[in-house]
Amino acid sequence: MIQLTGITQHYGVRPVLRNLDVRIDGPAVTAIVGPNGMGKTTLLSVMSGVLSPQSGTVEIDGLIRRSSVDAELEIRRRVVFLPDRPWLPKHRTGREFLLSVGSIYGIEIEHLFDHADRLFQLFNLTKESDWPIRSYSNGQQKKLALASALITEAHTLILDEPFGGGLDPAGILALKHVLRRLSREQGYLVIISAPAPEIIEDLADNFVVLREGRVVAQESMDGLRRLTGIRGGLSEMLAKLTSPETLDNIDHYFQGGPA
Amino acid sequence: MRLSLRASLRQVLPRPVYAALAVICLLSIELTWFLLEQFAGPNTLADQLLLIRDTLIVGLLTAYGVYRVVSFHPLLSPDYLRWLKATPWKRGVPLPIGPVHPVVADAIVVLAFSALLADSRVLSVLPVSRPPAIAGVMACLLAYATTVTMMVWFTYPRRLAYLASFVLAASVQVSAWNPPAAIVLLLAGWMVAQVGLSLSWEHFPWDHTLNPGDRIKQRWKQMQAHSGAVVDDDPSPDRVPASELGWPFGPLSPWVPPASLSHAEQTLIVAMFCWWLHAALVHVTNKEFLQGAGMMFLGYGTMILAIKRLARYGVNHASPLNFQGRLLKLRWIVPGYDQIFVGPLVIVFAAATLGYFGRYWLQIPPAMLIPAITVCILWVSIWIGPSPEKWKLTAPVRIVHGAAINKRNYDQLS
Repeated sequence: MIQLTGITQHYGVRPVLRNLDVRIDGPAVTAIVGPNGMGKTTLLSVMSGVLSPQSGTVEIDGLIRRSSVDAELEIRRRVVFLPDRPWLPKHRTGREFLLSVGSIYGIEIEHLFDHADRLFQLFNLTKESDWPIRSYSNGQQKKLALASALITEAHTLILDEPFGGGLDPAGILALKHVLRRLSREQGYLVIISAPAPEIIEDLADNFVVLREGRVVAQESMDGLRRLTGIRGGLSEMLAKLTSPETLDNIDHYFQGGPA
Repeated sequence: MRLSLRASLRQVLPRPVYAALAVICLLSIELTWFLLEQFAGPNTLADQLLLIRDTLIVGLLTAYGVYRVVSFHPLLSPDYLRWLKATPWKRGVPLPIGPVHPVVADAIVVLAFSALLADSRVLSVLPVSRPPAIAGVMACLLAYATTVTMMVWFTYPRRLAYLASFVLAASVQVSAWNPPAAIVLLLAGWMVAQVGLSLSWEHFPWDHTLNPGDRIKQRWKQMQAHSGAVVDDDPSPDRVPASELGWPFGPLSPWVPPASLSHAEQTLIVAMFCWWLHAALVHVTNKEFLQGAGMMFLGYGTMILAIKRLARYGVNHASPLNFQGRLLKLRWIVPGYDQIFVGPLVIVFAAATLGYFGRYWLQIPPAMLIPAITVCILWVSIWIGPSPEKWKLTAPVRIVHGAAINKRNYDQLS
């Protein structure tokens, strides 16, 4: 469970999150959605401890973030954050990297070897597993980064745009299935952000919709349908919730004559 | 007896090439001096050559003292140590590649070289005297005892290491005005170091008490054991240190290495360092030079210490509110974050204040003032909190991942 209370975050003087209250319960896949620049990444950064908000508290499984050394370390063991643009040690092999990440989370070494092999197989990286990371393509590096988050076995995954960064269709499919099964079968809480709603439409159980630093809706797919009165896809519902002027703008564009 | 002495000499002497090099150097100097004396009569150059020769002998004896420990103590040779650990070796059994404690062969080497200082030649022009023959013996013994003390510090018992270090520094200090007392102190320090060395073998193979690196590994094992993991702490190239895992696993690591030394121990080490500094500075006769060099040492040292301390906290961890935000939001101080500036400011203030009052009001001699200020600012640096580990985990910060990363070693996903 992640509970954010009264979170306000601003860079310099520009407010990004405004007195935001959110509670995200697991097990579930929760998607943070909203237009660009509305605070999705900032919200994930606050949850994951990268940013300390100017006001408000972040509580994870009953522990308050940064309240004490022990609490913070315990939270870090339980929660793993993967940003959209991680830095990977390029001179190390993919296997070395995965084993090392697993080690700092205190995973049993024999289990770690086995898990790493399964992850390489999952993302079609078995052949490249002992190559230096610098020889990986962009998409392969993205897969390795995702594998590094999974190998920690932390039961709360916070993934910023996990489907971006050159991930191929096979990788997207694998990740979708893994996240869904981790949530349903192993009780994981998965929080993801995605700019394109169609990718996460069939994956997420809940949606937190952000607009100008505030939560405008926190619902399941059915809940969003009821709230917006739209029977169509997630894109239309989000458009209505976050930028209702978009549809009017399209009409207005074609009213002026041929395009 | 003769055979045994020859074997002992073969065991402890440096490689023949080094011994030959030393002898060639000395012979060349002797020959040059002889030619100068024969053909040019008493002159400054000959005197200088004689002094260089004496200094070289003292230097060689000092190097021999260090060599005897560095080359034979298993701690400094990882392969030897690993092999010795695999054998049933214990205290009381001779060390396989040679003893660390002094043997008769050492006495022969030291006395032979020291005897070279005991010739009757005097400086004919320069108004200084040549070092006495005992200087070579003292230099060798001091170098040997100091190196042994360091080994004892790493392998325990540390109290004896601190005691030996204190007494040895005292002998250096006293030697400036009371050589007989210095000899007595040197012998006392050497004996304490020797007792420490003897006791340290009891702790072999030093697994639990070896050095900071091993202590960290020990803590790592405990953490793995706590989490039910199989222990595998063998340092191998297939393990990337937590600090080199890149972003986000480096800055957001759930494992924090423990401090390698307690505050009390750091305090003691700083005190010992400054005591040695004082012992060395009392030998500097040029007070004006000492004053100038001391001011420079303290000035640069203080600045480096303050910046280093700030960097230790602030690298990767920025203020949650940037400068513009602070100004415009009228939140000029972010207490939780800004506490990292207190330490450096106190260090600079302490150095400036103590320097001014010590120099101009109390007129403390530089040989005392420089170590005193050094010890004060280092103690402040140790004791003023919070610790970087605690601060990074509990203070309000913005983790800025790319700032401290060596970008040559990482690929960032685009």
